Amino acid sequence: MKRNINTGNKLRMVLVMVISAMLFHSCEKWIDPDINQNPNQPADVTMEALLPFIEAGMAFRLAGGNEVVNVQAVWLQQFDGVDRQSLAFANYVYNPLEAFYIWTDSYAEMLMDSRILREKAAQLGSPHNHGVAGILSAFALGQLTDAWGDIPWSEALQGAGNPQPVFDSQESIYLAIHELLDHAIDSLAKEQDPYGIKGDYIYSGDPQKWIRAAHAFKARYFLHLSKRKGSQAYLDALDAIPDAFTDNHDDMQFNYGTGQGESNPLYQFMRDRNDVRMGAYFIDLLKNTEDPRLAVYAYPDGQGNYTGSVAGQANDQASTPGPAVASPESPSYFITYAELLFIRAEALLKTGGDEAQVKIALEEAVAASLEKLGVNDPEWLSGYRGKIAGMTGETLFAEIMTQKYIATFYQPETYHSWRRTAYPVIPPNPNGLIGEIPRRFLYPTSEQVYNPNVPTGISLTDRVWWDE
Amino acid sequence: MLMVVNSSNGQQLVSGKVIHAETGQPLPGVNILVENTTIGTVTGTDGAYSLSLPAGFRRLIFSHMGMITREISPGEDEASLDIAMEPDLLMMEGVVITAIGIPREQKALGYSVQELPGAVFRQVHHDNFINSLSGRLAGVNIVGSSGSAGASSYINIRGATSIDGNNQPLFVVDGIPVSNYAGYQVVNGVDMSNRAMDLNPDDFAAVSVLKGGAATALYGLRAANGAIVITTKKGKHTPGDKISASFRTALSFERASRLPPLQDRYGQGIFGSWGSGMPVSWGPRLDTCSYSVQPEDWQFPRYDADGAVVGMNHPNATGEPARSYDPYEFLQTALSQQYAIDLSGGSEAASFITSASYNRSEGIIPGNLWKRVTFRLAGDASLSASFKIFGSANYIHSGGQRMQKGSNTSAVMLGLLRTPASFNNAAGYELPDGSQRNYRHGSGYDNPYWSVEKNQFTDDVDRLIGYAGFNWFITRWLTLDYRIGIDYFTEDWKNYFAKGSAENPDGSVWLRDYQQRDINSDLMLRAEHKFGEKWTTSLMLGHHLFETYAHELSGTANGLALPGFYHLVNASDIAATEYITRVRRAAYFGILEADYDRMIFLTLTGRNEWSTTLPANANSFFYPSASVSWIFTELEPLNRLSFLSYGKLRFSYAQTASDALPYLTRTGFTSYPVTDRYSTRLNFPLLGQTGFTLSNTLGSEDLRPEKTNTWEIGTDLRWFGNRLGIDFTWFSRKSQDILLQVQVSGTAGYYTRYMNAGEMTSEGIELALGLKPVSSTAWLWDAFFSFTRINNEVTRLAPGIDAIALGYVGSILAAREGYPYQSFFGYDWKRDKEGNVLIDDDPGSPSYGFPMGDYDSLVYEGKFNPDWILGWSNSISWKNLSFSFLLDLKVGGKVFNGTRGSLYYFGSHADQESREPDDLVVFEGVKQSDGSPNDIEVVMGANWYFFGEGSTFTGPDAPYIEDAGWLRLREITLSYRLEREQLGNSRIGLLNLFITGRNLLLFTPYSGIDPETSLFGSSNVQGFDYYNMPGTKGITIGLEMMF
Repeated sequence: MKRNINTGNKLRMVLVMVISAMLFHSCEKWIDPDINQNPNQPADVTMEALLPFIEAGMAFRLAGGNEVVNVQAVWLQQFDGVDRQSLAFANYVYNPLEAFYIWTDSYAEMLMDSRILREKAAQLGSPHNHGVAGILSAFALGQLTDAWGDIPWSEALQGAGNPQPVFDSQESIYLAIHELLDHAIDSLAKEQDPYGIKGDYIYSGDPQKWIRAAHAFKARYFLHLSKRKGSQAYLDALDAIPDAFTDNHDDMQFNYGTGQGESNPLYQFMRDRNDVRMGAYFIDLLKNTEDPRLAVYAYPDGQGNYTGSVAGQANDQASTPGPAVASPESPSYFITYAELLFIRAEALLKTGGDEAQVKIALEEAVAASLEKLGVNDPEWLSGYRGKIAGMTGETLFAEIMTQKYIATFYQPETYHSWRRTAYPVIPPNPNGLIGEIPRRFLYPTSEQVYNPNVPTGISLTDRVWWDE
Repeated sequence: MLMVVNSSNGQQLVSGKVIHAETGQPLPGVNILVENTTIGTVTGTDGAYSLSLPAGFRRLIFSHMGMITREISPGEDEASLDIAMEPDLLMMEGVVITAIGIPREQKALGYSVQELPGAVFRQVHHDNFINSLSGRLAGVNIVGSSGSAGASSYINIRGATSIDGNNQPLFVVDGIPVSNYAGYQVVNGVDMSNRAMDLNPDDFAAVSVLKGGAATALYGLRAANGAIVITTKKGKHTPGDKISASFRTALSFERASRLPPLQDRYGQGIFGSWGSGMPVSWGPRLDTCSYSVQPEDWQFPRYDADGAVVGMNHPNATGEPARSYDPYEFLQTALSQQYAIDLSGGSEAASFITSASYNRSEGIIPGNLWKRVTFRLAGDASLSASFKIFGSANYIHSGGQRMQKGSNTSAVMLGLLRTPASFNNAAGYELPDGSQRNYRHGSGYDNPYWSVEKNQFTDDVDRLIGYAGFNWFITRWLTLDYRIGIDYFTEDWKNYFAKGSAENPDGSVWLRDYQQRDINSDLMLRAEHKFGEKWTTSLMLGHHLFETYAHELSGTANGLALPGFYHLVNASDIAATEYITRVRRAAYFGILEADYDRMIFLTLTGRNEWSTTLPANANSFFYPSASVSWIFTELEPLNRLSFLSYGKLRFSYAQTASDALPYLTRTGFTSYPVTDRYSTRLNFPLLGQTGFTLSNTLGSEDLRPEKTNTWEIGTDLRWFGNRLGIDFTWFSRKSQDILLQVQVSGTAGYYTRYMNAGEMTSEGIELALGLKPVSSTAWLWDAFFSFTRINNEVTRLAPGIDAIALGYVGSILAAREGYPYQSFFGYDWKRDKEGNVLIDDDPGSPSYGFPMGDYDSLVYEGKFNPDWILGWSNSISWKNLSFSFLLDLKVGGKVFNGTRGSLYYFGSHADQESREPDDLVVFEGVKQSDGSPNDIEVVMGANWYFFGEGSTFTGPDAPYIEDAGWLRLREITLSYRLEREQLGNSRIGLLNLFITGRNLLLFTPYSGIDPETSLFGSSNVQGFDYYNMPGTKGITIGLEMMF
């Protein structure tokens, strides 16, 4: 048979081979490993790139914010939830799914980034950054353990090396907090730091202020153990106070901006969801004492009055949280000078101090709170002096704690003080799912799924170790 | 035209006529190809053809969609050759397009392939052609995500292979993979498209679905979940070099098929009293109420258009009975139009086709719109008898306007259904001061009329899919094929919220520009050799290159200064992000085919692939497949069985592999906003500083490719001449080393850890049964059944991890060890050991007489995937009239009805019409204290639904996991068809008028909208209904003409 199409076959074969060879050769270059270098993420960053994210995260979500402090404020009837999750909180329903984000981000972002910052600072020789990261870690650990009790720390943040860290006892977490703070104080006391603290929203890189904040935290966390350690806790707290803040300007706070994406979390929450109102208990407390802070703690309601919603009644016509806490620029407070003064008043009283001195301390604390909020009122203060003049013993103690409850409005410390001292006496929401105000947060569902070490059978009425 | 076959000696002219073996009618459009050449032609409307057969070539292949392919070698002197072609009931013997665009005889395949003719996609109106596959394919489950115009569809072939990665098949057009990218398949936002729906179904000649590993092994890792292989219409050489044309238009009307039932007896308020602005419908019985328009009662006339709702006996009552409003009057009848035209033609040496189409679909939500415009030009030219070039260019413009959905305070259905019956959303959505009028005094949720008017989401896609290549028949036994394709598209979104909208009260603008470019190159060298008379072998070696590059730019502006001006400059707070993805792969592959006497067919394939996403030391991987097909009816004496006309056994084994996601071989740093659980946020850069955080996903240098092994056994049988055909397949599939983002406890310092961890098995049967109960020259009745049953189990996850959440809204959809993939987990009622619900019988408790939520552990609540699916399509024709319908039965499978669960809180669901003190009910269960049957009578009112645990907001989610099975009349079509002869030999070759109904009947135990719905679109997170846009039913009227 004739094969007339086959002419030039050899030439064609050569062509095929050349084309094939060209393609096959390019294969090596085509699979260039550099293509998998992530163009969207730097492989490493500087210390000053880490600190802003840590501070902003903690300020927005632990010191202030809607996932911990807001819940606590609803439980303690500074607020009342009128819709959605906030309404559930007011009825003592806490879906463990709610805890997922704050729990996870506290570790995976705030504490993890703090750890990286500390490691980087140690490696590079930057004691000040090391100290700052330690203080921030201590604060976050404090917030987490006070809400959840036992939490992971000694085995936490080890990535693939240990995906299921054990839960450390709250007692050991408290030891770790003080160790972090002590270490930070030492580091920050070092005179030389070739890097300096950069990217610091809170204290603009001033190591002395950070040292004072560390002492302030020490006072707070000593005090938290009052139920456990009795007078020793108070004595320890008193010891820490002199090296801590000296006036309101030392407050460890985060100042927000006015822009939408740089504003206070409660402001954003009210703007977007509008789910809480002022609690009737709190509003009435302020109204009954004609407290000048009322005007900054709450906005007038639609009728121009200051009203609160009775716990669980979901009265959305009541006043909304005011400019001190819910304007775009309302700061989030990590710890304040006023709180320290309340610690001092309480500790003095509880260590058998002269009640006259205690009252002076209390008045100073209240005055500091007024001043901080820009509602200085000497007349009201002198009236207040008269009001507390006759108080003694338990009445005085209750007054200190009630005033602290007012001064630390929408701050983390409110809930912890109340759990320690049971003051002020707040009647629980009678329609609540449980018959008392919750004593703790529930571990997130994710933890139950991903970490078998999580304590089980926990309910909202269980108490954390220092609250027992 | 171009030069033709070389006219050397020995050329032989063959001509003849092709007819339908059963009806005797001429068969137009039959492809006739000279084997191993580019030479071919097509029959004209009278079935006639003529062709020059070059010297040395003998074998002619006659093929036609739906007919059994015939191969005939005319004798040396034979000039006239008339043939009759038999219809192919189940497409068992025809030529189907397999991997890499290789046409293969169905009988040679050792695995299951199902092919659908292009006409299937043209009778029913779907924006998304994937929906036309529903009920027609065995082993395939399809979920149209929503009735919204332009919404995506989820397609699942033989269960899942990946846990958190892609489970969608590869889409291939004429041998070129095209992107089915589906961004923004989220719980809130809008119903978004999947990019495969850009394709114009009027361009389809046929669609084959490759299911198993053996079928897809040659596509490599992208086809690990099967492949949808589309062959487009081609230009044809017809006698007389005539130009053919076709035109189709269709008009559709659609309405919501099912809607959540609502109560209209009680109005806005709480404790039985009316309350203006209150979020819930626990107010008064409206039939006891009237209105007051006195200022002391009517405090909020801006919101309460009718007046304040007061009791009939109220001193200020006007006496006018309080009204209730039907929220569903908001929905509209959606009108859609489709137009498609194509022109084609060719000579012996070259051919072309060009087409254009326009589709404009409205949604039932006012304002929702999706449009698609396509243009296509494709052609080929034989430069010589042995060398053909071809190419195609397809331009697509698509996009539309989409409305807010789902878990989103501006979502249309959410605002609509939560509105108390006493509040009239239609009485105006905007107040004179520009603020919003809604039932919660401007806060809460958007009035749906506001949302569709003020909050816009537009998407704009420009896409070019092109390819070019050649076929070179180098010698009689050697061919070289090359094809390079590009798929480039830009997908631009603009989403804005007006000031005063619930989701973004200060107004916002979100711009997102996305571009993607995929390049595919395939070179294939194919050699064929015959050993003796009986053995034919062929070997193909190939080389493949692939690159995908994507670039996404996104800008968000919050807090608009000027109202109504939606531009990035008009904001105080602007955040921008950028994301780049680049992945490359390369592969060598080979196929060895051997057949013995056209009775036993053996195919071996192997592919070695390289991918840039894997660590350099593990980026090369090989996977093989083997398949056998045995036509046992070719064997003596089986070939003499009168009742069994065709029988085939097939068997295959295949391995497929997948690579990793890009950029996860290590862990970097990233910057994003600090965001809390309520989506309030701090953007970075913040107050003048940048901020970075360690990535939440822990990468690994130890990644390996994941592998799936599939075994498949099947048989194709045809009985009683051509009257009954059965195609049965059993498969078993095991995926190992599945790469997944293992969620870890955040306390380890990460959210997720990317690793090879999972293992999953699927096993199933697929049965396709074709039946021809009646076949005469006037009457034809074809029935076709497709049955699918797939059992899937997640057999292993990462060490210490027994579940991975895929997504949640109230309930969690997860992959959990020992359970089917995509199972629901959540909280249930407290139960005793026997599973009885425990009822609180403590008279002092607020939940006295009610069940109690058990929040101690997450329990299994059922699986999303159905137990089995049965599709039954019928086509009955009598002369020019034909009638067809498709019934779709789905048994099992759950959907989380979060709409009902949360409406319970609001008191607006129809289940809540009985709440008076004498509306006593007894919960089924046993008393907690002593286990005796519960007999405590309770009223299910606000005490339960709002203050108690009777809603998803306040209680467990298990009560809202519902059976989502169905029986539906998916399609029903009546068409009238006239051929050229009947039209008096006019210029019109064919005229087809049709009317089609879609989803006209739907029976389901599901209590909400059509349970074929997916809040998360075509992502793996299936089975959620939370204020989803309702599915639709509709009628299409159409006209098809050919010239």
